[in-house]
Amino acid sequence: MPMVRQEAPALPDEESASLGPERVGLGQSLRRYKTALVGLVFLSALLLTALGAPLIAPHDPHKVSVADRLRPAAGMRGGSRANLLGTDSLGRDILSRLIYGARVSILVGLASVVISGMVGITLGLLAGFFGGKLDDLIMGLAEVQLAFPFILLAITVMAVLGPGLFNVIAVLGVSRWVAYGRVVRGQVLTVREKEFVEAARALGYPVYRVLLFQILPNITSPLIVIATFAVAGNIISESSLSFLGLGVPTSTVTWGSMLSEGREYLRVAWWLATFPGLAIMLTVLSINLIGDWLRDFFDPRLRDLA
Amino acid sequence: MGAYLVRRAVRAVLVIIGVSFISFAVLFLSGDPTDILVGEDWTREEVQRLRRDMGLDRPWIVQYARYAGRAVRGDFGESLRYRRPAFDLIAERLPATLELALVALLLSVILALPVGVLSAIHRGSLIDQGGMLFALVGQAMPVFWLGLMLILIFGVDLGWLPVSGRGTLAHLTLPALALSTYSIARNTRVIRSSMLDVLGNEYITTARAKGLSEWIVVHLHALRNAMIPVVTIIGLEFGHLLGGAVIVETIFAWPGIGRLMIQAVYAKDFPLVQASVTITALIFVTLNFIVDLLYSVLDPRVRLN
Repeated sequence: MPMVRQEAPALPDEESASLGPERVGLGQSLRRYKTALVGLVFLSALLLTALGAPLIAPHDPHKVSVADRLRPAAGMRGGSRANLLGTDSLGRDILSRLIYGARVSILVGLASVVISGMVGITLGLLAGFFGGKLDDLIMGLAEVQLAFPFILLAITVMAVLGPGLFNVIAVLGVSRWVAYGRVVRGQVLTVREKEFVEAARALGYPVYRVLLFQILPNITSPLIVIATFAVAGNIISESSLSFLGLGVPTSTVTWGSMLSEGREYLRVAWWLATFPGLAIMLTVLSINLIGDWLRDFFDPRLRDLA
Repeated sequence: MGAYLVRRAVRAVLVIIGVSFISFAVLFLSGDPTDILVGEDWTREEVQRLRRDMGLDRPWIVQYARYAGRAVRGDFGESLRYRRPAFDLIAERLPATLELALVALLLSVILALPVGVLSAIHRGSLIDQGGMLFALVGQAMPVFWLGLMLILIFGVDLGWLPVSGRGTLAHLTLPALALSTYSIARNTRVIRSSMLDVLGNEYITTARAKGLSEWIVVHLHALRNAMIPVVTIIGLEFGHLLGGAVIVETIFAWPGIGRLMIQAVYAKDFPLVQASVTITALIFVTLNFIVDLLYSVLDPRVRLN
């Protein structure tokens, strides 16, 4: 039988404070959630590596060295300490390319989520505030968009726009707003009918301000949880698009395009495709672990369930 | 039930109209198709005549109406590359994609069900921990990487299974495995948590208190209710699988719609791209419609909302 704990979700007001000792802080909860801690450590290290790439990377990621081509990882026969994870078909250092590739993954993951968050919150607020035809239109758009398998829509739009870092961010950002929109709209509809809104309106406060200040604090936690998982999802989507040659142009190093190059040499040099994939997997796994933890932290009712 | 059916059908039709608008917009924005058809030696008048013949000089709404009118009759235009109706090309490759996606769907339920249920019943046990570890890793692996690793291990190193093409069951194994892993992982988690949810209900306690055997409680009382969210997930899952099929088909040279579409993208064959996306979306909408109906049969509360 699941132990459903009767703790209140994290509401930013005195109501939750009165629950007293049952409530645990973010840091304390993290100490209990060892897996999330591991994810957080990995991600922090990745972020620092990505930021300090020029200082940390042992080689220039673009430097071609034909004499060193297809060298296996250090420790394997033919490997060398100079290239810890080996080299690709042009003799470029794989570790350095992974480090630079992390920049693209993190940038696309975060930037696209910021865009979908803004689009989703705006559309959700509009749909909830005005209701009626506008609501039907916005929610209809959401449903139509969900009728396309996401990656198909992304591939099609990228095919029309052409590869490009900005295009990838825009496509992933614009097409993933629905989850945010629905949460925001639902909350607006709930709050709109409350008496204090009536009271505020009677006192002459602009209703949109009342709603905004009542709504956004209440939905920060679901939004943060959605956004966390979306970062992971968008990192996979970007690498899928780049793998297909429809994402970020190959002049920029990305994990997806490294994998796509590695595919050609699968039979002779397994490490080319293996390491970038591991990088994607560990990054996504870390983010998902953090997402699981945040979801359970914000909504303890789900703690033992999901 | 009748009113619900009608309401749901109207919504499906509206969504299909929306889908047609988006897919029309994609082609409209992809540029002037005459650019590809026109030769260097064409005169201005010839180009304009072609544009007029193709209806490209008309306002977009007229062009859309023409497009929609044709699409309703199954005419999705002609592939620029193959010089054949896009619909025929897709219809030829549809069985391969459906075969792949359905087998993956089947795998994702058959494998996830026992693991999810056992994990819920024996919480914290070895099977629960193993199942959850698999679920975490399975959800984090990009499908194209998993595909390549499967090729590397079972195709190149061990040489057990073919790594490209369609034909025998052996050909299907690796692509289906690659495509279904994410779904198996997700379904395991959904089934586990749904089962945990149901097992906490009072009627389960009642059933146990009546002295019913644990086997009956789990199978007759809990499992049936735990399957409700799983049915909804399966509808969504199929869309995910159709999307994932694009990448899996490309990696394993599986002759389905996904591979056709990617090749059309590379060849800038936009009418074919548009037709593949639209038809996939139509399949997905129809399927979700059917799943919703099934769902309302399983759970009468749905109809009342």
